[in-house]
Amino acid sequence: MSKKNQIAPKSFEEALAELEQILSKIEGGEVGLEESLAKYERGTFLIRHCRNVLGAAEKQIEILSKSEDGAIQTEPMSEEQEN
Amino acid sequence: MADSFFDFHERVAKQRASLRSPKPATGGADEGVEPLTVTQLTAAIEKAIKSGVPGTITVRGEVSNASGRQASGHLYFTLKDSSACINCAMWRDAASRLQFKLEDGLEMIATGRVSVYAPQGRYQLQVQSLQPAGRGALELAFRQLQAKLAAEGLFAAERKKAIPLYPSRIVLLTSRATAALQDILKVLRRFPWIKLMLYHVPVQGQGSAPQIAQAIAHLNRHKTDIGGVDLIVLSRGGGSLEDLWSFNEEIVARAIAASRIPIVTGIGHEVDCTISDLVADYHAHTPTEAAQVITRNWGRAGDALVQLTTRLDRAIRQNILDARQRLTAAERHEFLRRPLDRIQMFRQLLDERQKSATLALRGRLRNAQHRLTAVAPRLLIAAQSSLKIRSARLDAFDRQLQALSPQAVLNRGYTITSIKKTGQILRSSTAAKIGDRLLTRFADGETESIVQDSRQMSLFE
Repeated sequence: MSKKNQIAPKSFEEALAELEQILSKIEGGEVGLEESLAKYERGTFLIRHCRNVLGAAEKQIEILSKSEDGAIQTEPMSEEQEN
Repeated sequence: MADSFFDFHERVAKQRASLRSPKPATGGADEGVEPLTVTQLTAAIEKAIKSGVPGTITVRGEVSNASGRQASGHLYFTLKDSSACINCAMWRDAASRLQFKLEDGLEMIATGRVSVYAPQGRYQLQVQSLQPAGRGALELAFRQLQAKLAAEGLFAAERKKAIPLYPSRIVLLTSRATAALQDILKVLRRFPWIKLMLYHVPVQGQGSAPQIAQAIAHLNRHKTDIGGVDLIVLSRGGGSLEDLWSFNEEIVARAIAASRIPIVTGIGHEVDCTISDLVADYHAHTPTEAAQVITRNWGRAGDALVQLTTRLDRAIRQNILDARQRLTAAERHEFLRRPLDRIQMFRQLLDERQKSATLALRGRLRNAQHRLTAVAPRLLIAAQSSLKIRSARLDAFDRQLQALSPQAVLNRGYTITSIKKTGQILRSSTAAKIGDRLLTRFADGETESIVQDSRQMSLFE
């Protein structure tokens, strides 16, 4: 697999949009066999990437507040606070 | 004339003297008339008002000449009805508690007391509180702000930002203590991959509105410091109109409008609609609905991925199948098997082209001939008829000519005589001399003769 095929998209939304584009190219028969295989490879990578996104468990909620110097600071939320 | 000014003056002086003290006033022996100072008179008027008008009164009237807040924070206006008006003043503390903007034409119930403003000789109503007649103060404030922001276009659909389909970094802007937070977390728990951040702000009470507004601006300024923010959810649980009031404050509305991060609101219950809701990019009716709306696509993402996988597999399989079929077809193609045939075919094609070109040329020639043949007889006829016309005209000329010919004259019995030697035709008897040989021409021949004698005929002989 080429390296270019492994660059993760910026967001889930972008990944889906790229997948749609790949599908319309392959389904429309617009590209030759070699290119469509490369696109297929990219497509499976994107799907795997998306599955990984959905599988990730952030769970931890962060509390944002204004720090004394006016910047933004974060701290994890404790269990009691959450419930 | 009993009531002349001087009589009146005297009577008043007497009354005053008896009012004040039995003793005559200093300086004036019997008369006891001493003019009041303006201050004294004003004090007397003030005293009269205080004794005649209750200390605290409520009065209803229409606002006019509203000044707007002065630099001092005081508010001046006039209350009027159809036949009277009274100046009103509202001191800074009372004025700052007003939630709506005092505008001319509003029907108000004012509570306060009447006081005299001695420096300008005016009495006025010192207003402690103002209540719009017929409706609540908050309702009025809401309508005023709504009208103002609507006129500025802050609620227009075209200035609303799109809500991301798959927001993965969400800031919940609410109070840690509010039920709204629990409602939202309950929905979002099913999407553990979404990064949640809580920005705590008081959602009711004095000072809550500026804090909400500051938090929105703060998030916009520093969003990259916390890895980016896709969406802000501004929410609060249900409550009275007063409880929700922070969300109807102009400062919050303007902060929402200025935010570059899309904002979804979920404030109060279904029936509540705040100014913040109207300005927000999406207005969910409750905190729970807000959470549902922003995760709508996430809920279907798993299914969508399954479908996309199936489509991708099917598409690539079809592509491979197509490629294989094309290959087979190419292998079977005649050109690949017998390349010379192809050249022959081209040659044949060329021949055919040539043939058809020749045929076409020939066709054009034949066509021209046809047209000529068609034209020839018509030409002939035209020529013939033209000849006929001409020969007829020639005959006519011939007849005319013949009529004039000397032969015709000879035929009628005349003769023509000419001198033989010169050929000169004789038109006079004097033209021929004796001895001249003459030729006389008849219709059928000539005779020759010699002149023997010549005489001239006299006309009158």
